[in-house]
Amino acid sequence: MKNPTPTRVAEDARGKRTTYEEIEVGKDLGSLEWTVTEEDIEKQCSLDEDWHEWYVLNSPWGGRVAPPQIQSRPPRWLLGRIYNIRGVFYKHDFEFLKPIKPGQTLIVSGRISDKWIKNDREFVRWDTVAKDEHGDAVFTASRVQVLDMTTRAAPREGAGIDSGIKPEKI
Amino acid sequence: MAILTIQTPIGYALPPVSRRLSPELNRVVGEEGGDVQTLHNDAEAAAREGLKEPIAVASRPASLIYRMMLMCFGEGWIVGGKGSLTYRRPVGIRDFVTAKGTVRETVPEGDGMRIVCEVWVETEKGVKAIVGTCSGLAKRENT
Repeated sequence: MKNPTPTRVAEDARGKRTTYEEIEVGKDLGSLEWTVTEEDIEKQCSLDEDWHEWYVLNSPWGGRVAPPQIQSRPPRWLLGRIYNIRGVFYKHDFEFLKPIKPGQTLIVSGRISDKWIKNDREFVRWDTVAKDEHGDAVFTASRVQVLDMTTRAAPREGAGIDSGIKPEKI
Repeated sequence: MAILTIQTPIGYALPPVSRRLSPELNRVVGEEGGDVQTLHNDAEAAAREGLKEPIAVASRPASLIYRMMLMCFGEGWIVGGKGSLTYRRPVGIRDFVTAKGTVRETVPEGDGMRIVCEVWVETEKGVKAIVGTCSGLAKRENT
């Protein structure tokens, strides 16, 4: 049931929500180490109902590779380590540079690149890159999240259940 | 075998790909192993975020675009794929969704061609929920 008086969430199960004013453009989000497992690939194929033989058996790169869209989640984990922003996914720009293989460990790093207000809603963009053990970029991703579905006119005083701090799992 | 080659004409319609979403696709398992209530799987969690009902995880309908691109480009999607997608409208957790697209332009790149496609995902009501462009590489010898 929808709340009778719209509010924006101020706090959720994982703590205080980050406000627009607290987001620092240029902020280094640090990095995380992500080891891609066979289970990760299996789960991605299952969620996407995408069972191409390259993702399961063998590929032109030697052995199984991950569906490239598996890169969608780690940048979100990175944001959640610094800022508790729930909202919803708004934009995604990406580039696949090398295949992702099981057992591979990638270092995903990122930075807040922009924030803006449009149609009385708040947006944040962050840019990420994942590098392999050779220091080669494997993928880049730039994501935009809208902080709230409710407009800025609504007071930030509600209590949420969901959180922007994500379980770091595919 | 990739569907798109450097000889594919501008305006070519990509093969559509469809799926029906289900609530199970929005299940999130927490670090402790239990289910996590999110705006994608719980009515109350969604309501507190200002939503009328839970909405699909954005990457579930978007997955159709990725599958369509793999069919179109093969190797040139896994290495060399690019995209720019906008999630314009929420998608319901039980919606039937279809990815579609057309070839927009070709741009020489390396020893081949980058083929840029307009892509979108529409719901069964015809709402374009995701729109944008994706591109991949076609080798010159694969004509």
